[in-house]
Amino acid sequence: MEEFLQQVVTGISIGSIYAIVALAIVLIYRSTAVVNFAQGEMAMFTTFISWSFLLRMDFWPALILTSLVAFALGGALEMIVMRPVEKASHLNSVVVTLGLLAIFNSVALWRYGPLPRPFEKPEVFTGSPLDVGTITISRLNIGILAIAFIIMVALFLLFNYTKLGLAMRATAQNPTASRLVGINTSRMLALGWALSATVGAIAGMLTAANQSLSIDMMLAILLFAFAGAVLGGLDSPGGAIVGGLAVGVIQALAGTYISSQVDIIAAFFVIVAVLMVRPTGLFGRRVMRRV
Amino acid sequence: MPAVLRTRTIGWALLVLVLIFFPYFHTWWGFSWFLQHLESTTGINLTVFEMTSLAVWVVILTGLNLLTGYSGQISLGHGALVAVGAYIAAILLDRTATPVAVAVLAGGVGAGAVGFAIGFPSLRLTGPYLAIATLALIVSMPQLLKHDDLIDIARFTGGASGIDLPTAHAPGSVEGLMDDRQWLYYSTMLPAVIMTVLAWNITRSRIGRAFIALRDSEIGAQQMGVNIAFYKTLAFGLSALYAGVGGGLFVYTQDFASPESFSTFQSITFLVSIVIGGLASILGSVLAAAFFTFQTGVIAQLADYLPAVDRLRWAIYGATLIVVMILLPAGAAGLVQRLGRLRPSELLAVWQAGLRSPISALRAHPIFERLSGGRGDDGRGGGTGTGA
Amino acid sequence: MLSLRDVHASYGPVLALRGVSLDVPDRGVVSVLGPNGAGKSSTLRAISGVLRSSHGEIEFEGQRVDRMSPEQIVRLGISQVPEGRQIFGELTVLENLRLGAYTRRDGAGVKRDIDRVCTYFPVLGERRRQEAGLLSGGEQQMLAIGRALMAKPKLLLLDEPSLGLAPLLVREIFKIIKAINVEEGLAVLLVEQDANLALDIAQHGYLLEVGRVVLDDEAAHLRQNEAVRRSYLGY
Repeated sequence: MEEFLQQVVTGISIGSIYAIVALAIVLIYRSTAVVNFAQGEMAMFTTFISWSFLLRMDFWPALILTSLVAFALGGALEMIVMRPVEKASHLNSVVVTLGLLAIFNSVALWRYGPLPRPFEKPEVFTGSPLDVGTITISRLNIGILAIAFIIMVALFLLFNYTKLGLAMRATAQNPTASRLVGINTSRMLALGWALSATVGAIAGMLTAANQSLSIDMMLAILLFAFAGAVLGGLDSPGGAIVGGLAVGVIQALAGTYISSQVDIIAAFFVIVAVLMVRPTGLFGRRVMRRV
Repeated sequence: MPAVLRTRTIGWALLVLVLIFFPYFHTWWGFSWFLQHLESTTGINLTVFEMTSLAVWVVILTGLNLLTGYSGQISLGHGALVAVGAYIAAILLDRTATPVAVAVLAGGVGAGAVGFAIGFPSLRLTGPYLAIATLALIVSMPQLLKHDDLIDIARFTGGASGIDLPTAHAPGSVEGLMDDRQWLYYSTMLPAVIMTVLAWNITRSRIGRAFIALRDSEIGAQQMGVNIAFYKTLAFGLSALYAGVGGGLFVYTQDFASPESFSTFQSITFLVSIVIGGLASILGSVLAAAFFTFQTGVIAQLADYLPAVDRLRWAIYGATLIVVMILLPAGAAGLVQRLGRLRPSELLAVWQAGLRSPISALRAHPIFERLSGGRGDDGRGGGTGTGA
Repeated sequence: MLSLRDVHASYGPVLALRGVSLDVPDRGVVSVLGPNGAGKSSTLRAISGVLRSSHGEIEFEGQRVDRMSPEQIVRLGISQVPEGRQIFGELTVLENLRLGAYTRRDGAGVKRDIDRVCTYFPVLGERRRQEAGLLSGGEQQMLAIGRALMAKPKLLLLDEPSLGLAPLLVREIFKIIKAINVEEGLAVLLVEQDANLALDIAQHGYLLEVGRVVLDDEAAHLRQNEAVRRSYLGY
């Protein structure tokens, strides 16, 4: 029983990163009906940028600065690369995100090389792991969970209690009507990407702090994040968090009780299972269409 | 006969001739000089073996194009289906006395079945689900192939080291006519041509039209009475079949199969290839295969001049992908088709216009519209507009 | 107040407007009639800025608006109730109305106007927290009109408001539109297939066919016009 609880807690810790990345995916999907397959690589790239910031400053200032850079990057990407294909078919947009995936991966590899590098943890989260009863959890993991929660609350407030958030939701649902009420839909789309890139950047830095910084650190995480997003519902931010955490737990439990060799396969099965049983995910409302 | 028809049919006829005689005339003095020169300048190594590999990729990419180009579904993990076909064929060839043709076909059928199984749940829905599911499949493929814990899959698949097969030899009946390499070429090229022609027929049939209707507007297609779920699954199953046959041919020509042969990046390269080659076009699939086969050589050649190219290979592919999607969505094949319709005098005009067109295409980019203070153009009218 | 001069517009290669000229006077109600595909909706889209005109001029209160963005045009005081209503189905009635006031900055004024809209359309007030997608067709139409009114427009564009609605309901809505025109001094440009209804409340009418204005007359005269009667009024 204790083992089980420990694994659940470990799973939640792993899952909190998936949750944040899943949130970034859902953000773009909700506002543009496009899945950004480059999400992971963008996060990895911005994390490498943060690494150079960290040479001169502490973690938190570096996080803020990197977030700003990511915000600008995301917005710029939408305006320059995605805008021309958004009007065309869905297929084109997805292919373009794959192109971005390739570019970010490659440029990072070229610039920074294939070797992993150590990444500084924020001060607050160093120190011995906490023990709650017989269960151990590292401070960093609690921190990641807390940050995931904060991001979720911030986005929730943004979307449901601000005019801007309302406009973004409107744009996602009905771009034509949005323009007719005077919303600058182009700006909303760019904003969606900008926010998503920022969330991704934060996830990247936390991932690097949790393991180490390397070119391929986000590939597997992206997959699990997708599983989480699908499980929670591609159009539900809350679902993304729950889904991400759930996938982490499934991974931990599957790894312990079924076989240590099945963690990636488990993600695959989660996705297929969700699609078979409840395609809209746990909290998703509908399968979005771009008409 | 109209000029149009002549150019195109001559083109294809020439191609067929080249294909038939290539293994022989490529050693003739004039050609071998040409081929050597080609290799040293562009890095394209046009040997019989490379052409044999080309045939394999043509099969795989034609299948993928049926799925993505014609039906508009994205498969990010097509390599996984190739792997299924490859491993089925490899296991049969390694452990039983199955004839090669049967083994390859079995690979195709097996992959088709897997494709159906995965495709069915994902394709019931609109959206990126197939893309996500196939990505998950290819990423988990290595783990699946090496697994020896719950079910000893590795016993069959050879785990991390894969399966090694003896090199294929030309059968006694053709001894003297051709050597092993040439035999390999013909025995691979023939099924490739057959399957390509088959695909061409499919695209021109009712099925092909249903695919296209599906791609352009699912809702519209549904209203026209097209059974969406059926055709989507059919498209995916067909492409899986092709992938499986391609996988079997891969194993036949390469004599081995291992988890490393089917990476995530390979699957992405498949997609890059058909986009550059030309979506929704059989010619495009062939051009895509050419791209896929010779890209390594060309990149290596470029890297001799610019070392950074090697590391930035993927950035180049990615950038090319994006540029093609924005400026030339029909890919190289689209360009070729458009040019093929013209008379020589018109070609010149197009060339001149072509030099200007990247610039005008750039100027048409939304960001320039904004900078010049223009309004957005909702050309399609959104919603339900019928232009009333 | 609004004038179009020789406006041309196309969707890609398809020419939708081939030189449309019309005027909407201050506080007036003008109707645009015509068969499907005539270019009626395209005219409204061009005015609102979502369809770019390739030629011609659109002037509103003395200003050239044909090159402005949709945002700017809404701010200037032109608001459209689009064809098919186009409400935000997953948002609440209240959120839909608030979005109508997107370009405004006066919070108190917005609140007042929400109440005013609910006076014209009481059902919206009753269902203010409901998801808009759950409303009936007629209620959605009212919501679409209410949303457009929230922008405090000087000119209201209506694109086929009667489409898909029961006749009784349509009459009700048209009465309210006329009332709004009279009480608030709001000019109305109405695109309608139902010529009877349209000419009932309009003072002036234009008949559009294949992207061109073929008839331009007072509503009363149009009613008497032989061709109009036969093709569009049904008698």
